Amino acid sequence: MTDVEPLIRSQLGSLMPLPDGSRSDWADVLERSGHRQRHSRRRLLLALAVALGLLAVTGATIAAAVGAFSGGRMTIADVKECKASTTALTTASGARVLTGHTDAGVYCFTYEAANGGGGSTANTFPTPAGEVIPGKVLDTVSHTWVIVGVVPPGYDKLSIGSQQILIRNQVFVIDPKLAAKPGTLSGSAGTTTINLRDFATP
Amino acid sequence: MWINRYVEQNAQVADLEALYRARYRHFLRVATLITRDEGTAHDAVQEGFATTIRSLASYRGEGPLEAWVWRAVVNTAKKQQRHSPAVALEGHEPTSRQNGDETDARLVRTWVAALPERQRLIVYLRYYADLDYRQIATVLDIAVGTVSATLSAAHQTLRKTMEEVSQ
Repeated sequence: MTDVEPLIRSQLGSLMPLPDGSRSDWADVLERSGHRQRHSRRRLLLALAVALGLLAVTGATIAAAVGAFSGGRMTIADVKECKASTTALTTASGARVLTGHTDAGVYCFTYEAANGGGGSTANTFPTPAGEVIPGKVLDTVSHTWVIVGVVPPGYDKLSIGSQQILIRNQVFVIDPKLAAKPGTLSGSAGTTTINLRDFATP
Repeated sequence: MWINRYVEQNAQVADLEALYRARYRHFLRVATLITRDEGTAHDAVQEGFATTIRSLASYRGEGPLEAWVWRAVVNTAKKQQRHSPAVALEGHEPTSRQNGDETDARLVRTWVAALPERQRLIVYLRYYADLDYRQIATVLDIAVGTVSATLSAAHQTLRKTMEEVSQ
């Protein structure tokens, strides 16, 4: 009996080597999808209008109640201003998580794999996941997805089931497989539950 | 809420960009095997990613995002292949087993090309795209058990052909 799998594995690569990637063109993908025009212009304006409306309503309500307005919520302008520049954590594979935030308290982070690929996001606490700003990103070196989380100051440990994950400079990185269960943040700030199941690998 | 969704979708577009930059050549290779033309395949990859971006609003994390993209690219490539004039496959029918990697490679190519479409697609996704059974099931919208059974049938066909040739 012949085991064909090793032969297929060894031969298919030489049969059809990876083609030249010089034709790759992400800008063309965005243009075909209409993303730039639809999302970056119309939706940006719409999101800004909604944000301003929310701010006005919230501000007016609070001002009416206590006679003063303070604080505020994230705006797209905040997101743009938020430059992630502090290296909070470096993973075993050499990826870095850079964090930053605006004076208004909008946190942002960038996951940068060892070859420069990655992704970034921004938000304020809390999010639908709890006291964490989560993001899922593909590590372009290991070709595996990871979940990155930024937590408020005062938490140094994340517990998920029997797993204990250390939080460094408000940042943790976990395997999406762990995200199916709720986690508990703990530290000098106390304890709180977070839920990353929307980011879990099914 | 709107802003969260906006940021979330832009994060997903950033994820897609990372996936595109990391795996474009793998997508192009599989699309080329389906369409048999690299230009058409490139178009299928571009359109597949664009389709995924357009449908992000309805993506609720039902499966890995990468599998979603593969599904869009494979479906686009299959559609384009159906609209393209048939192109003769390279290779030839094996007449006798010879030594040498080059001969092995040619034989395997011929045998794989001769497999039924679903078996061939699963072989491509398994060995050229390095997808696991669950991801392949998502791409082709079939059960994981069907992937396993179909791949096993493909192996059996290839094994039988190889044994006949080696005799």
